[in-house]
Amino acid sequence: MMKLEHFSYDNRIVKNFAVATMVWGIVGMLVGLIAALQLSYPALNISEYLTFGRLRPLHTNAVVFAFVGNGMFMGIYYSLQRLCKSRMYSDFLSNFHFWGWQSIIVSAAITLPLGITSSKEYAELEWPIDILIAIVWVVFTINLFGTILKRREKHLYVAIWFYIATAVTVAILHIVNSLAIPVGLFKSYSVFAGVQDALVQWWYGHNAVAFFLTTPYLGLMYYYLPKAANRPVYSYRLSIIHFWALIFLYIWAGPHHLLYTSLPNWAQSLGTVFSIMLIAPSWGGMINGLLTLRGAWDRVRDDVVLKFYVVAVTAYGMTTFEGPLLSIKSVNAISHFTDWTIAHAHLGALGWNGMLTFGILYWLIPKLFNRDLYSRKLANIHFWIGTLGIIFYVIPLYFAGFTQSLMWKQFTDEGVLKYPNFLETVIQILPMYYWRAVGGTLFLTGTIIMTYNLYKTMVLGVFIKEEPASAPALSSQENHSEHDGHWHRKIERRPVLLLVLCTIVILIGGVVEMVPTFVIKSNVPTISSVKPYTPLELEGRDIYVREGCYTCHSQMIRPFRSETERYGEYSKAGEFVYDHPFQWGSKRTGPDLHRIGGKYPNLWHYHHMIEPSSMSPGSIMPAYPFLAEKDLNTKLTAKKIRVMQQLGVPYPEGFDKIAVAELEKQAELISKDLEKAQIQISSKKEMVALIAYMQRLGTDIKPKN
Amino acid sequence: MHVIIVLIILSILISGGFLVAFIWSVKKGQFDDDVSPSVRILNDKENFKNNDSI
Amino acid sequence: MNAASLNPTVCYHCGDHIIAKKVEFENKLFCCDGCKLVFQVISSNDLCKYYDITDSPGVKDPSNVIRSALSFLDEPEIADKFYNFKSADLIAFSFFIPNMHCASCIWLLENLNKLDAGVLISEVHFIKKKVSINFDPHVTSLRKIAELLSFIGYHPDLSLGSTKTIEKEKNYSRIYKIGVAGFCFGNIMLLSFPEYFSNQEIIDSTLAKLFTVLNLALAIPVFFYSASEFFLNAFNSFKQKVINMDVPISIGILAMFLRSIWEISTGSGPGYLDSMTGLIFFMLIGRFFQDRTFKWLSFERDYSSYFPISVEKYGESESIKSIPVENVAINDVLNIKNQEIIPVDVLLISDFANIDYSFITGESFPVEVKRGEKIFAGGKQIGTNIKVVAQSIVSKSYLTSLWNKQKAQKNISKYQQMVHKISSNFIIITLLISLVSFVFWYLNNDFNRAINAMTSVLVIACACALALSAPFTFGNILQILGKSKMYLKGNEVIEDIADINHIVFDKTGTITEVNQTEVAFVGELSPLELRLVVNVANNSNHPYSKSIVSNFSNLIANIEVNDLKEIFGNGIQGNIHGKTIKIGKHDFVVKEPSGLLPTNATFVSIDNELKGYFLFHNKFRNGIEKLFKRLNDKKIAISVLSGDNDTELGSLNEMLMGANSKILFFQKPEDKRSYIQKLREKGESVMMVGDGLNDAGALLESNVGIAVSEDVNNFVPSCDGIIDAKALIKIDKVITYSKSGINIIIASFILSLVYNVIGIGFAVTGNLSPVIAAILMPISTISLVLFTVFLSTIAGRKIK
Repeated sequence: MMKLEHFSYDNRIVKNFAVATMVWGIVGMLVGLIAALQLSYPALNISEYLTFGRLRPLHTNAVVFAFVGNGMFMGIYYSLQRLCKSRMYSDFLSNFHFWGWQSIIVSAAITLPLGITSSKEYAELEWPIDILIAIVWVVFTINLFGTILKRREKHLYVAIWFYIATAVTVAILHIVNSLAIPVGLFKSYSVFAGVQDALVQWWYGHNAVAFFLTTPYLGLMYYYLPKAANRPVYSYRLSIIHFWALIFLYIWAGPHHLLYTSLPNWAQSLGTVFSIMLIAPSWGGMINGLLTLRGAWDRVRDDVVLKFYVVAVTAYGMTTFEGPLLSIKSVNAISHFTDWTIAHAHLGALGWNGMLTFGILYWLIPKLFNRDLYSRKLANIHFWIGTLGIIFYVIPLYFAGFTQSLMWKQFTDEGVLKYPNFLETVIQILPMYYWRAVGGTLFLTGTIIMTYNLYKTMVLGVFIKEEPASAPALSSQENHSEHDGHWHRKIERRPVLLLVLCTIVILIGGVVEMVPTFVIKSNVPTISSVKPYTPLELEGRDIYVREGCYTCHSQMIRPFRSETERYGEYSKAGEFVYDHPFQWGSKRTGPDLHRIGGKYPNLWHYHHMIEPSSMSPGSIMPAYPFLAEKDLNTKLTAKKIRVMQQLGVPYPEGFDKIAVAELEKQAELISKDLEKAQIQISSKKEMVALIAYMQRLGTDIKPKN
Repeated sequence: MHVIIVLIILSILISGGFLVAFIWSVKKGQFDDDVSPSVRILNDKENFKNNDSI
Repeated sequence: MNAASLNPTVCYHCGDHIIAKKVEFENKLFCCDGCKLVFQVISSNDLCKYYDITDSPGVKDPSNVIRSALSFLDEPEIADKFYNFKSADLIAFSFFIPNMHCASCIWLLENLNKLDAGVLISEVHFIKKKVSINFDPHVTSLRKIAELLSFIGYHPDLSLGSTKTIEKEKNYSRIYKIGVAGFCFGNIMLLSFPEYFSNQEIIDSTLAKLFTVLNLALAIPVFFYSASEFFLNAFNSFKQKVINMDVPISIGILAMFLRSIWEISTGSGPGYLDSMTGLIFFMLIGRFFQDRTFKWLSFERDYSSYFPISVEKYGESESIKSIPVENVAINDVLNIKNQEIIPVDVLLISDFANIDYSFITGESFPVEVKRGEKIFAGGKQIGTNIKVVAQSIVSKSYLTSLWNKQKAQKNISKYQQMVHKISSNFIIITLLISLVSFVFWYLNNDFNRAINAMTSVLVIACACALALSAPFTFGNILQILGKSKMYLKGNEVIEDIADINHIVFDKTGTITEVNQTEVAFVGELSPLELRLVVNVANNSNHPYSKSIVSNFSNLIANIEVNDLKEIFGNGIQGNIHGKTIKIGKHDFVVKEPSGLLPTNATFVSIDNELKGYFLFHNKFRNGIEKLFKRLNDKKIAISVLSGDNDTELGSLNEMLMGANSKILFFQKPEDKRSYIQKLREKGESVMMVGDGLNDAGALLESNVGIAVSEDVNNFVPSCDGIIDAKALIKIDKVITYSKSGINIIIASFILSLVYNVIGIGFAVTGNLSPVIAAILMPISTISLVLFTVFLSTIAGRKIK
C-alpha cells in the first residue's frame, strides 16, 4: 500500500551555515590580507599575539575550515535533503553540527594567536579541539548517512557519493594525523617523529586538499551547476566514472609534497605517478562541468551565478593541471619552498572554492528568502573585482616564486652562489608582495560587497523556514514501480549500506589501536651521533613551534649544490628521529635553519630576535623583544621528558627528575656567554631557551667548532 | 618507515570500503540508467502536489 | 531565450523545417497545428522548462492516432495485462515509449502529474525507454494516460508483445569482476612500486615482506573470482575437444599464480602478481567493451510486436466488445476498423474490403477483397470498418507460422575457423617451447632454472593478442557502426559479414522509399483540370489519391468541392465549378470495362469523358544505383526479390547491369525464404536485407539478416542487425569495414608474436625477472589495445 508522505525541508540549518560562511569568509580573508601586508610592512607585527607566525595558521584555518567548511555544509545540507527527498536525519544533530563547528572555529581563533599550536599545517589546533572536531565530524557523518538511509529517492545522485567520500575520508585523515600524546591541556607531542611525522602530515595535508576542498565541492558542482543552468550535467555517465576514478587515485597522491626531502625514493615516485594519473579524472570533471553549459552560453552572459561557476570550474581545471605538474621532480625542484606553491594554493582556494561558494550563495539566498537578488549590478561588480583579485594575486606570486627560486640557484662563473645573502632574494620580490596584497584587497572587497548584497536580500525577503514537500516512501514505490518488485528489496538495501558503514567504522577503530605499536618500534635512531634534545633545547623548540617559525623557515636542506652551498650538508632522515613534531616547513620566506646551529654567536641571535633588521638590514622578519622579557615556564618540563620517553626517545631512566636542573645549568652558560658582550639577560628568559635550540639545530652530524 | 605500513593498510582499507560501496551500488542497479537521474534533479516542485495521501 | 525561438524557419516544438503554412503563437513559430496544440498544453501547465533543457525537443506526430482507437484500454481484461500492481486506489504499470530521445523527454514524462493529476509517480528508465507510472484509478485511467502520452507525441507501445515484458535478471557479475580486479590491480601495482623504483636503495626488509604478502592476499580474489570465467571457458572447450583462446590464457594465469606463490613462499622473489592481475583486468575490460550492445534495440521480435493487443468482437445482439487478441476463437465475428491490422486469418462478411498487404507481401498498393474471400493475418484494412469471421487463432495464422520454422543453423565463417586454428596452434607451440626449455635445463641438471624457464614461457605467452585485440577491435567497430545508425547484434555478426559474397535485397520499402511513389499522368489534362483533379483526390484517404496529392501538393487550394462521393474499392467523385470529376477504376469513371490498360493505373474522367490515367511507380532510394555498382565491382552477387508486380522490371534491370544479379517478382515470403535456402545450399554466404514481416523468414534463413527501418525504434523483424534506411546505401562499406576489422586482428596478432618472441627469449633462458615481465606485459597489452582501437577507428572513417 503506497503512502504519500508529507514532510518539510529544513532551511534554517542551511541559512545558518550560509551566514557563517559569509562572516568567516570575511574574517579569514581579512586575516590573510593582514598577514600579506605584514610581509611588506614588518612593522605591522604589532603585538606578540599578532605576529605573522601566529596569524598565518589562523588565516589558513579560517579560510579552509571556517569559510570553505561552512560553505560546504551549507551546500550539502540544502542539496542532500532535496536529492534524498527527505528532511535531514535529525534536527538535533544538524544543530549540534552547526554550533559545534562554530565553537571549533572560535576556539581556533582564540588559541592560535595565543600560540597554542601543534605546528602541523592545516592541523595546527591542539588536541582538545582535535577531539571536538572528531566528535562534530562523526555527528555530521551520522546525520549524512541517516538522511541517505531514510531517503525517498531510489537513486543516489553522484553528488551524494562525493559527500560520502568526504565524510568518511576526512574523519580517518583527521584522526590519524592528530594522534598525539598530551603534555598539558594546551600542549601535546605528535606520536610520529621526523620523517614519519612528515609523511603522515602530508598524506593528511594532500588528502585534506583532496577530500575537504575538492570532493565535496565537486559534489556541489554536480548539483548546483545543472540547477543554475537548468539543464542536466553534460554526461552523467562521465560524472560517475569521474567519482570512482578520483576516489581510487587520490588516497595515494600524498607523498609528492615531500619530493627531494628525506623520503625514500620510491615513495616519492609513487606520489608523482599517482598525481599525474590524477589529471585524467580531474579534467574529466572540469570538461563535464563546462560542457553542461553548451548551448546555454547565451544564458551565462546574463546570469551572474553561471559566471561564477564558469570561473570556478576553469580555476579547478588549471589547479588540477598545475598540481601534477608541480609534483614532477624537476619542476618541484624549482617550485618547492617558493611562492609558486602559495600561488597554486590560492588559485584553488580563491578560484575553485571561493568562486563556487559565491555562486551557490547568490543562487541559494534568493531561493531561501523567496525574493530576487537585491542587486544584480552589485553581484556583477563582485564577479569582476573577484576575478581581477585572483589574477592580481596569483600572477605576481608565480613571478615571485620563479624569480626567487632562480636567484637561489644562480652561481657565478667562479662557481660560488651569486646571491649568497638570502635577504637579497627576498628584497628582490617584495614588490610582488605589494601586488599580491592588492589582489587580496580586491577579492576581500568583493566578498564584502556580496555580503551586503545578500544581507539586503535577506532583510527584504521572507525566509522560508520550512519548505513543504511530499513524496511516497521509497518502500512503497519499490513495490509497485518495479516489475520484479519484491518487498524484501527494501530490507536488503539497508544492511548492505550498514555493512559499508561498519567496515569503515571498524577500520577507524582498528587503526587507532594499531598505530602506537608501529610508532614505538619505528623510533630507533639510525645515526648514532644523533642525540635527544636537552631539556632547554626542548623548551626552546616548543617556543619555536609556538611562534610558528616553520611558516617562514624550513628545516630541510635538499641535496642540491645550490642548497648545500648556501646552508651546508643536506638533511638526513636519521637526524629527525626525535622531532615530535617535525619542523620541515613548506615555505622559505626566510632562509633554511637546519644547519643554523653554531653558525652565529649567541649574541647575534639575541640582537636578531630583539630587532632582526639590526643584524640583517631590510629583513622582513617580525621582532621578538618579548622573548627577552617573558620567563620560561618550566612547570611542564619534567612531564615533557616523560612523554618523550613514552614516545621512545632514549632519555635515561629518571631523567625527568633532574630535567629542570639540567635546563637551568645550560641556561646559565648561555646567559654568561651573553654577559661577556654586556648583555644582561636572566637565564630564566625564553630567549635563552630559543637560542639554545638554534645553536643545537643540525649540529648532530656536523663537527662542532 | 613503519608508519608507511599504517598508511598503506589504511588506504587499502578505505578504498576497500569504497569497493564494497561500488559493488553494492552496482548490485542495486544504481547505475543502470545513467541518464534520467541527471534530469530528475531538475524537478524541484515535487511530482505529487495537490493530491493527498492515498 | 533559446535558439529555436529565434530561428524563423524551424518549428519551436519539433524542430522541423517549416515548409508551407507556418502557425504562430506567443511569437513562436510552429510547423503545424498539432505542434502548436501540444505547446499550448505544455506551456499552460508551466512546463516550459521542457523547451529550455533541449531546443525543440518535441516529437512530430506522423500517425495521428484516433482517440477512440485506444478505447480498448478501458476493458479490464486488456488493461490488466499492463498492470504490475493493482489495488483499490493505486495502480502501477509501465509503458515502452519508442520515441523517447532526450533529456526534455525524461523531464516531461516525469512531470506527467502536472498534466494529469491522477498520476502519482512517473519514473523514466531512459536506457530501456520505459516509463513506470503509478496512478490513482479514482482520478484517471490507463486509457486517459495512454491518450495523454500519444497526444504529447510519446506513443506508448500497445502491441500484443508490449505487455509481455521479459525482464531478464540483470547479470552484473562481470562488472563486479572488473571492479575487484581493478581494485586489487591498483593496489598491487602500488605495493610493487618499491620494487621498480628502489634502484640499489634497499627497502626495509620487513616492508618488502609485508608488501609481497599483501600482494598475494590481494591477488587471491582476482585469481579465484575475477579470472574464473577464463578457467570455466577453457574447461568447457576441453570438453568439446576444441581449443579456444581461453585455454592459453588460463594456463598462463595459472602458471603466473603458482610461480608467484612459490617465489613468495620461498622468499626468492616478489612473483608476477602485478602482471597477472593487470592482464586479467585488461582482458575483462576488453570483454565488457565487446559485449556492450544496444540495449534499447530489440533484435528478437516476433509477430506479437506487430499485432494489436485487442480486437473488437461482436457479442450477441450486435454489441461490440474489445477482447484480447489471444482470446479470439475460430468463428468469432470481428469488427476491423480503418488502419487496423487483422490479427488472424479471416473470411470477409462485409461486401468488400480494401486490404493493404504491404506488411506481408511487400505489395505496395491495397488489394480489393469481396465478401466471402479470405483475408490473411497481417493485412491492414483501409477505409470503413469491416466485419469478418475468424478462421484461425492468432498463434496459428499463416503469417505466424512463418516464425515457427526454426532458424537455419549458421555454418561458422572461415574467419572464426581461422581464429580457432591460430589459437590452437599457438597453445601447442607455447606448450612445446616451455616443455623443451624445461627438458633442456633439466638435462643440464639445473632444476630450479628448468621450472623457472617453463613457467616464464607460459607467463609470457599468456599476454596473447587475440585475447585482447579481438574484443577491443570488435567492440570498437560495433560502436563506430552504431554511430552511423548501423546496429549489429554482436561481434560474431562482424565475422559473418566479412564473409558475405551474395546480398539479397527486398524491393519494396528496402531499396524503394516507403511513402513516396512517382506518379505520371498519361493522357490529356489542362493545368486547370489537373488542379481540380488533385483537389478532389485530396478528399480521399486511398493510397493512390494520397500519392497523387503528395506529388502535386503545389496545386492544393481550398476549393469548394460539392457532393463528394467516395466508393471504397472503386474511387472518388466530386463536383467543382459544375464539373464532375471522377478518379478511380476504369469502370467507375466511365461506365465500361477497361481494355488492355495497365493494372496499376487510376483513371480520370471529367463529366464522364475519359481524360487518361495516372501511373504509379515506386521511387528508388537515391544512391541505390551507385551501391549496386560498387557491389558489382566488389564481385558481390545481388538479388532483388519483390512481392510486387513486375512493373519496375525495366528500371531495375538497368540499375543492376551486373552479370551476376537476379530479379524476381511476385515473391511470397515463403519463396524468399526458400530462394535464400537454395543459395546457401550452393555454399554461398548470403546477406538478406529487408524490411517488414514479409522478409522475416528470409532474414532468419540468411547468414546475416539485416533489417532496414525508417526509424530504428520502429518494429523490425528479428535479425542480426538493424540499419537506418538512410544508411542502407553504405552497406557495402560495412562489408569492407568488417573485412579490415579481421585483418587488424591478424596484424595485432603478428605484433604480439613479436612481443612474445622477445619475452620468450628471456623466458627460455630462465632469467625473466618479474620487473621485465611487469614492464613487458603492460607495454604489450596497452600498445596492442591502442593499436587495434586506433586502426579500427581509422578504418571506420570511411563509413561516415
